[in-house]
Formats: sequence, structure tokens, C-alpha cells
Amino acid sequence: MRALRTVFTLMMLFFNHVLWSQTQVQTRYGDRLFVGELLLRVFGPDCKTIVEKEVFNKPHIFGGPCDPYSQRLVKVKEGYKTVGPREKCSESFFSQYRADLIVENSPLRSGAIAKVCQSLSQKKACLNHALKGIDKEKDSIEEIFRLFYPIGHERLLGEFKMAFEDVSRKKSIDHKFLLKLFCQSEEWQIL
Amino acid sequence: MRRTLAAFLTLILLGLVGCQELPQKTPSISSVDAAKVLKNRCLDCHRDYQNFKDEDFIKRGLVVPGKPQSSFLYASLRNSDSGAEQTMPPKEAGDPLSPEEVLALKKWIEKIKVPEVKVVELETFSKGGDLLSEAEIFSRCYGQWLRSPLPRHHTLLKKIEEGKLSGVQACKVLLNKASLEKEAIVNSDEGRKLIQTFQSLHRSWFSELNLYNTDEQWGNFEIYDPGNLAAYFTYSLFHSKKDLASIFRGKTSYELIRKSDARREYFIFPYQETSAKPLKLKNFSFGSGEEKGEDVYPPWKIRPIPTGEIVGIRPAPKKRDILPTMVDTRKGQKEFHGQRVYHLNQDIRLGRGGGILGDPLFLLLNMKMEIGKASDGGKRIPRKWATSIFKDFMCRDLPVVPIPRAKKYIRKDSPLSFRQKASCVQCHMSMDGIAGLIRNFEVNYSVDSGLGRYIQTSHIRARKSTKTSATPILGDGDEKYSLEPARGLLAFQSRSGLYYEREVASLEELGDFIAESSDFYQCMSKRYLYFLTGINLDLDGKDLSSGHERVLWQFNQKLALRLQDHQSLRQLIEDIISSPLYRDRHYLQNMKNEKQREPAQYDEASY
Ligand code: HEC
Ligand code: HEC
Repeated sequence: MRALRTVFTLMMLFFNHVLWSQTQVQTRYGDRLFVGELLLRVFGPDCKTIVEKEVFNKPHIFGGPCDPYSQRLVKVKEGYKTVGPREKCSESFFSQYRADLIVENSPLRSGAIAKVCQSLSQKKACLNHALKGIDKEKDSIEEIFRLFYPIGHERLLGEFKMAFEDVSRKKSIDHKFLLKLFCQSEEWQIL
Repeated sequence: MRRTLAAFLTLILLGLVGCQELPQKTPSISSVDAAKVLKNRCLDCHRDYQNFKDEDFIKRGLVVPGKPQSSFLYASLRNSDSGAEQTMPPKEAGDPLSPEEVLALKKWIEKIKVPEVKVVELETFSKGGDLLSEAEIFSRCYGQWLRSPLPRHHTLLKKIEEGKLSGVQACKVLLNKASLEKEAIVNSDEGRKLIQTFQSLHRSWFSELNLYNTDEQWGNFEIYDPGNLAAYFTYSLFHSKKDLASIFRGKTSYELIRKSDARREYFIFPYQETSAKPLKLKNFSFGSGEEKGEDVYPPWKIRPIPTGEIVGIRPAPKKRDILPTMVDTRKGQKEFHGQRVYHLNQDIRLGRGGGILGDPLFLLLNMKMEIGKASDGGKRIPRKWATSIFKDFMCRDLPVVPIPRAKKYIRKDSPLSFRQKASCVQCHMSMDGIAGLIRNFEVNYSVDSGLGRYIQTSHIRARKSTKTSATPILGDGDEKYSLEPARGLLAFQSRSGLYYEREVASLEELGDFIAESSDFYQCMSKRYLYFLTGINLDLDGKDLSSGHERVLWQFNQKLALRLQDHQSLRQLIEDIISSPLYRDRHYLQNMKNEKQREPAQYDEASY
């Protein structure tokens, strides 16, 4: 009986492997260019170094191919460096040539997002740039949410508001905390 | 395979009950004449046809609307002019159809209209009704296609808010910003980003992009850009007069136009990892006119491949990049004396016919042959090129023919292992078969560069063919093979089950075949579906898939049928983004949940 069972299980494994359709469903996350540009828009051009280092130069985490033909080598004081448009890559030459345009979320990626959001909101110039337009008299949750979600996403906004229902005086919620919270949320990265 | 088996079982069952007279209806299709033919000549065996309408024939892959030649049902008729294997009705059942009967079926299929893309089930699947707003749809396509967040005050966004445009319409207007019809260079920032994104997408479809074979060919990186292959698709997307099938026609290749503010002084490729000093481009020239052995190498001042931001695409100008001389290094790779020199004055961008199939870059990337050696039709065959054609343009992995078809080409007495067994022939007949079309080509070097290093570039050279053709296409290897006129064997079974086995005489003919095959269009729509929605459909898993996958498969099939008809990638994109699939926030999640549930059915099997 037991043997029969094993055989049956093996058979099922076999069919599962051979006959299963390989269709994959992935939620599309924006690549390094999309993520980096949105962060720059929120935190301002002074934060370029951080975004460059933590996002634009990490195609292996955020996706987004590199085109080695987009860049040129130029001589500078310290030696040579590559210059080019957004599809240039810092180090690896051809290795990211065919990197995916579509990437899924991964622990690595959410870690990287957490890190860059942390660094950006730690830096005074970036923090100030992000919060400079926020009206202290209005609902700060919505105001800061809109930095990352300029259009739509009403449902998500509603959920966030609900989560803060208990906090009696909404205006007193730390803006920096909200900024980090929305920065690290996933939905704005989904395309 | 499964299809044949199913048909076989059905027919056995029919055979068992076959003696009984079952009532036969006339199929209710759009042509009375065709219905009569089906009734009189087919229903005896294909009883299910009697309940079919036009759309049932389409759904089952038996008919491609408007295209009898590509339709399984027509192509399999014994008297049709399709080029596919023709078996119906079977010989045992009597005479083939009369010319009039064949014509009736042909006319019927020609008149069938391509169906709308609407797949009702797609809509019923969206639960919860959390749909993207018009503005959100635009924000989605903007983010996907430009890889930039949509500016809050974008003019198209305003128009959507004023109710003047729908989200999909705004996306269409956006796409037009990269139009290449009037000018090869796109001036707007948005237009350039569009070109760059789609260029990256198309580039990812090619299985071989690496120009590096041996050290000597480092020079290739300075004169070729593998991205130029993707430019065939990108050009077709943004040029409304270039139908999709045109990428398989002619000898014109395409090139990316690039711009940069920085001066171009150095090589692209950092040749020596250790040295901090990159090579200067200005010294990069060949042949300097000095004597080598008995020969004088004319100078070739090379025009380096452009670098910088992609700003446009154009057909590569003819007779611009002329290579004067090639050397044959068969007698030793680094010895430049005593080798053969060919004075060819060859245009290094000019295709060899069949559009992208004969593009020198596609050949160079995929031939993978030893320098100076052409195919012998046996052991030495440019198989990678053939495999890449099936993979890159039809999303097909070998084998592309079922085992029983291979039997006829098995030769037990062959000295070559892969000609002896059906399990080997099954792959090798298709691969080695079409590779016969590039039998005259070999890869040779330019002479070495003036950089004091062995830096050369490699190029395709065609051997002159003699008039006779005597060696078999699937032979055992013969030096004469590469000197005979090009000739190949096309052995291919489409996903819908149509089987082709015939000789092809040119790359152009092979190109025509691919441009007519449903596998090509299904492959294209599948790739766009993936890019736009994140759903990567398994085209071979149709029969095995879950409910919603089957709906998606049908959707993809309709997209493909329409694409074959309208030939426009832009329209394909519109077809996809107008569907509920693009609008529904939870479609993916629902699909994911369904997929996760599936394996559980087996785990819990009651035994
Ligand atoms: C005597 C019986 C018989 C008649 C009559 C007949 N067929 Fe068939 N047909 C078969 C058998 C058996 C197969 C399966 C064989 C195979 O798949 O190789 C088949 C397969 C096919 C297929 C392959 C599609 C599939 O479902 O697998 C097509 C298309 C087809 N027939 C069309 C026709 C048409 C059109 C006619 C009428 C003009 C016709 N047949 C008449 C016996 C018949
Ligand atoms: C699934 C398809 C497939 C099957 C089945 C297959 N081959 Fe191949 N074979 C290939 C491909 C593809 C290549 C070329 C690899 C390349 O050059 O990149 C190849 C190359 C070869 C070569 C190399 C020739 C050379 O020296 O360059 C030999 C030998 C060979 N196959 C033998 C066999 C034998 C023997 C069998 C049967 C047991 C077999 N193959 C079955 C796909 C297949």
C-alpha cells in the first residue's frame, strides 16, 4: 500500500513537472530610472548623489538595462570616467545590457528602498525640499501621501487615513515619519 | 503532439460507433458552399464540425481569418496550394476535393473577418471592480513607457481631467511623440525616452547579443552595436508605413542615431583590465597601405559606431561603410604572412536578404563558426543561427517537429551520431535544414589595426557558389557543400499543428514563411502582453492551464490574429491597453491566487 502511494506521489510530481503550464504572473515594479526620478522629484536635486548611488547604479536590484553604447569615456583629473544619459551604467560593462525592464519586488529591493528613504529623510536639504510645500493647516496625511501618489489611489489613501483614525490630532503626526512611511510603501512603484 | 493524440482517440471512438448512422447537420458557417463541402466530404470523420460556427473554427486554430494559406483546415487539403503537408481527406476515404470544392473553402476563409479583441471572460473575471481611473491609466502607460513619473501638470493629464481624452487615447497621443515618419531624429525629450524604452524591450528578445568570440575581434565592439537588431522592431513600431512583416524582407539594415556632448576619444571597450590607459580611437585604422607578404593592404579608415543617447533610428545608408579587404586566417590566426587576401570592397551593413535573418550583425552574432570555415553540411553547421531564428522570432525551442516526422531522415549508416536516431534527427533536421541557407557564408577578419595589437574586426564573406548542387541537405559533411547554391530544408510544425516540410531556396523565402506563420504573431503579442501587464504566458501550456490562463491564451490568440491582419505594433499596444486586463488593479492578484491554488489540487488528491 505504502509503495503504491509512493509511486503515485512520484507520478504526480512527474506530471506536475512536465505538464504544468509555465505561465508566470508578476506585478510590474518600476525600474531604477522610474524609482530614482520619482525620488529626485520629491526630495530635490540636492539629493542626486544619494539617489545615484542607491538607485540609479543598482540595476541588479531595481532592474532597468544599461546600454554601454550610450556612454563615453572622458579624461578627468583623477583619471577617466564615463559620462552618458540615463541608460549609462557605472561599473559592469555588458553584464546589464539585457537586464529586465520588468522586475518583481524582492526582499533585496524593499531593503534598498528602505535604505534610500532613510538616507534621504535623514539629510536636511532633502527633507526640507520634500516638506516645503506642505500646508501645516491641512491634513498632513493626504498632503504627504500625494508626494508619492500624485494621481488617484483613493482606496489606498483611505486605508492609510483609517490606520491613523485613532490619532486624535492628525496635524501632530510627525511629518518626517509620514514621509518615510509613504516613501517605503510599495504601491507607487507598481506600474 | 497532444492534439494528434486527441484527434486519434476521437477517431478511434468514432470508428467504434462509425457504422451507426448519426444524423448530420450542415455546419452553420458564413458560406453556404463551404458548408456543403464540409458536410459532404468531412463530417463523416469530423463530426464535431457540424456544430461549428466561423468563430469555433478560429478558436480551435483551424482557420486564420482572411488567410487560407495559414489556416490549418485549408492547408491540410490534398489539393490546396499551401505548402504544408496535405492529407485531407485521407487517401483511404477516396478522391481529393475537386478544384471547385477547394475554391469554395478558400473563398469562405478569405471572407471571414478578424474578430474584435474583446474577450468577454476577461471582464467577468475582474472582481471587486477596483478599476484604474482614466488619469491612472495614463499615469501607468507614462511610467511604463518613459520610465519617468508623470508630471502633475502634464497637458495630456489636463485634457483627461477636462473629459476631452480617455486614458487610452492619451497613451496613444503619447506614443505618437516618437513618430519616425517625417524625421529620423526625435526631438522631444518624451519621444526619446519612448524610443529608448522600447528599444531596450526589443533588445531583450534576442538570445545572442555578445560580439565577443576571440580576442582578435575586440574591434567588433567599435563598429557594431547589437542594439541595431532591435531597431528593426522599434522602427516598425514608430513608423506607420513599416508593417511588421517588413522586418523579414530586403537587405536594408537599421541603425540607431545617437548624440553626446562629450568628445569621443576612446574605445568603448576597456580592453585591458589592468592598464589605466584606454585605447585612443584616432589610431584605429586598418591596413595603412604597407606591404604584407606579397600583398598590399589598402587602408581602411573605420567609421566608429556612434555612442551617446539614442535620439532616432534610420535605415543604414548604403555604400557608406565599405571594407576593402578581408584576410583568411585559416593558416594560423596570428600569422599574417602567407594567408589569403580578399579584395572585396564590401558594404558591412548590407543585408543578405530576408531582412533581419540575413542582417550581417544577426549572422555574425549567431554563426559561431571558426574563422575562415564555412559549413560542410555535416558536423560543421551554423546551428546557433537556426536555433535563434526559432527562438527569437517565434518563441519556439527545439524540437519544432514531432518524432514520427523524423523517421524518414534517419540514416543508420551515417558516420554522424545525430543522423542515426529519431530523437536526434528530430532537432537536427530543422536546425541543419534551414542552416543550409547560409552555407555559403563564412566569417573572416579585417586586417589588423594600426594599434600595435591584434585588434581586428570580423565580417561575413560569401563564397562563390558553383552551379551544380549535388550534396544532400542533411548529409554527412562534404567540402563542396559550401560551394553549392544555397538551399535549405524547412521542417517545422506550427503551434496550431500545421506541418511544413519543403525546400527553401533563399533567406527571403524563409522570411516570407515566418511572416506568414501564426507562431511569429503569437510570440510578438505574448511579449507585449508581458511588457504591459506582467503576465508571461506559456504559449505551449494551453491545454494544461487553469481557467483564467485559458482565457488569456484565447485573448493572446485574438491579439495575434489581429496583428497578422493589421501588421501594426502600435495597434497591438492599443488592443492590450484597451482591455480590462490593463485597467483592473486586481486582475494580477486574482490570477496569482489562482495559480497558487492549483498545485494544491494534486497534494490533496485522495488516495
Ligand atoms: C476518412 C476520415 C476523414 C475524412 C473524410 C476527413 N478527415 Fe480530416 N482527419 C482524419 C484523421 C484520422 C485525422 C487525424 C490524423 C492526424 O492528426 O494526423 C484528421 C485530421 C484532420 C485535421 C487536423 C486537425 C485536428 O483536429 O487534429 C484537419 C484540419 C482535417 N482533418 C480536416 C479535414 C477536412 C477539411 C476534411 C474534409 C475536406 C477532412 N478532414 C476529411 C480523418 C478524416
Ligand atoms: C533539443 C534539440 C536537440 C536534440 C534532441 C539533439 N541535438 Fe544535437 N545539437 C542541438 C543544438 C542546438 C546544437 C548546436 C549547439 C550550438 O552550436 O550552439 C547541437 C549540436 C550537436 C553536435 C555538435 C556538432 C559540432 O561538433 O558542432 C553534435 C555532435 C550533436 N548535436 C549530436 C546530437 C546527438 C547524437 C543527438 C541525439 C542523441 C542530438 N544531438 C540531439 C540540438 C539538439
